[in-house]
Amino acid sequence: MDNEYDKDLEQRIRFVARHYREGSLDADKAWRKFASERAISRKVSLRRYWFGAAAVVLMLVGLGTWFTVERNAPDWVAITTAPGQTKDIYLPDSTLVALAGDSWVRYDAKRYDKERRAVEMNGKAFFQVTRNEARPFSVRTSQTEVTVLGTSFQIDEKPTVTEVNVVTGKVSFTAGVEKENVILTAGMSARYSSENKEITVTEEDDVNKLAWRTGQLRFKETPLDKVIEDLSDYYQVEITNQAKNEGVKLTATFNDLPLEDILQVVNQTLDVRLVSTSKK
Amino acid sequence: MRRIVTDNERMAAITTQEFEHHFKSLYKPLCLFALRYIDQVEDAEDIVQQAFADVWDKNRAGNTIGNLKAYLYQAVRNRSLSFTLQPVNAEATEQLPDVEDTSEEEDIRRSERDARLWEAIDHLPPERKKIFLLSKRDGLKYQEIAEELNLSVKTVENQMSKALKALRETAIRIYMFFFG
Repeated sequence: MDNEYDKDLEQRIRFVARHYREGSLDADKAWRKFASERAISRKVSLRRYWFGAAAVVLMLVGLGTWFTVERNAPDWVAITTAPGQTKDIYLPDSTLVALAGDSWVRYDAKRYDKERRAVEMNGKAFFQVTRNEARPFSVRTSQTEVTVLGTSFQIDEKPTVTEVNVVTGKVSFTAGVEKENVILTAGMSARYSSENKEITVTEEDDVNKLAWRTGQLRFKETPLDKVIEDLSDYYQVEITNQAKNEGVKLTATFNDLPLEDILQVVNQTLDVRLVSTSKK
Repeated sequence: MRRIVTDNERMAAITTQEFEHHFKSLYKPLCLFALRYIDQVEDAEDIVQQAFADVWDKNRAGNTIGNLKAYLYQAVRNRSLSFTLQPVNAEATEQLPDVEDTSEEEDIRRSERDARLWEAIDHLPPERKKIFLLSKRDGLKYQEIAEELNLSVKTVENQMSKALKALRETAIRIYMFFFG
C-alpha cells in the first residue's frame, strides 16, 4: 500500500512537474481575464474593495458636509465707526450706507444681493437703497426689522428706542417679538420703544434727523425742548436750560458751527441759558 | 470522500460572488485535469475558461446546474477530448493520451491533489525550484544539474530531497484530509 502510494505520488509529481510553468494556472489572474471579458470586473472589485469604497464614500460625505457647511457659513463684512466718526459705505448693489459715530453695519458677502439684500446694524445709519423689486432690502437691528424695495431712510437705534425716518419711498417697519408692523412713507418716522413695546408713528418731517449727515441743523418754529434735543444729538453732549423760559420757539439754520457759537446765538436770540454740561 | 459527496453545489442562478468563489477554487484542479488529455498549459487554461463561460451563460439564462463541480469536470473532459481529436496531423491522433479508466470521484480527487502539488512547487524557494524542475520536468540527472548550475552534486541532492519532502508533506496533508 505504502509502496503503491509512493509510486503513485512519484507519478503525480512527475506529471505536475512536466507541465509546470512559472506563473501559470493562476486562478486570480484567470478570474480577472474571465471577468474583464464579461464586463463583470467592476461589480466584483466593488465587492472586494467594499471597505475601501465605503471609506471613500464616507470621506466624500465628510468633504461634502464640510463644503456645504463652509459654503453656507456667512462671510461677514462689517464696518464700524468710532464715536464722532462717520463713514459712507457702498454695498455690492451700490446701496449707500452712511454710518454715524459709534455704530456698525454688517452683511453676508456670500448671500448679499443673491435672493435678498440683508444687512444688520447697530447704532445710527442712513440708507439710500438702490431700487430692486426682485430683491427686497432689509435691515435688522436687535429688536426691529426694516424692509424696503428702494428708498432712503435712517435708522437710529438706541438702547431702548429704535427710530426710523423715511426720506423717500416706502418702508415696512417691523418691531418686537410680536412682529408689529407699520408701513411708512416719505417724511414719516416711527419709534419703537422696547419698554412699552409699541410703535409710535409721527407724520411730520424732521429734517434734523439727518443733520449728522448734512451738517445742517434747521429749526423752524421749533420748541426749545426740541432744539435742545437736536443739538444734544448732533454734538453728542448734554445740554440743559438754566433759565425758566417755557414755550419759546426757534427759527434758524446752522451749518456745522461750533457748539459754543450756536449756544451763544440761541441764548441771545431766545433769552435763555443753554449750557453744555457734559459729554454723553 | 466526505468533501466530494457533500459538495453538491446546487446552482440556482448563483450570484457573481458565488461564481467567482467557485471559479477560483476549481480553476487550477480543472486545468490539471485538462492537462491529462492535452499537453499545452495555455490550451488547458483556454478550455477551462470556455467551460466556465458556458456555465456563466447558463447561469445568466437562469438554468440550474445540479452539481457544478461534476458538471465542470465533465465539460472540461469533453472539451479536452474534442480538442485532442482535432486532427492537426496524423501523429497527434496516434498519440491519444492513455487516460486510465477511473471513476469521476477519483478524477476529481487526483486533480485536486495535482493542484496542491503545483502550488507546492510554486512555493519552493527559487534555487530549489530550479533544481527540482531541471530534474523532474527536464529529466536531467543530478550530475548534469550540478554542472549546469555550477553546484556540487551534494548540494543538488540536498535541495532535491528538501523539495520532494515539501511536496510529499503537501500530498500527505491532502490524503489526511480525504481519508483521515
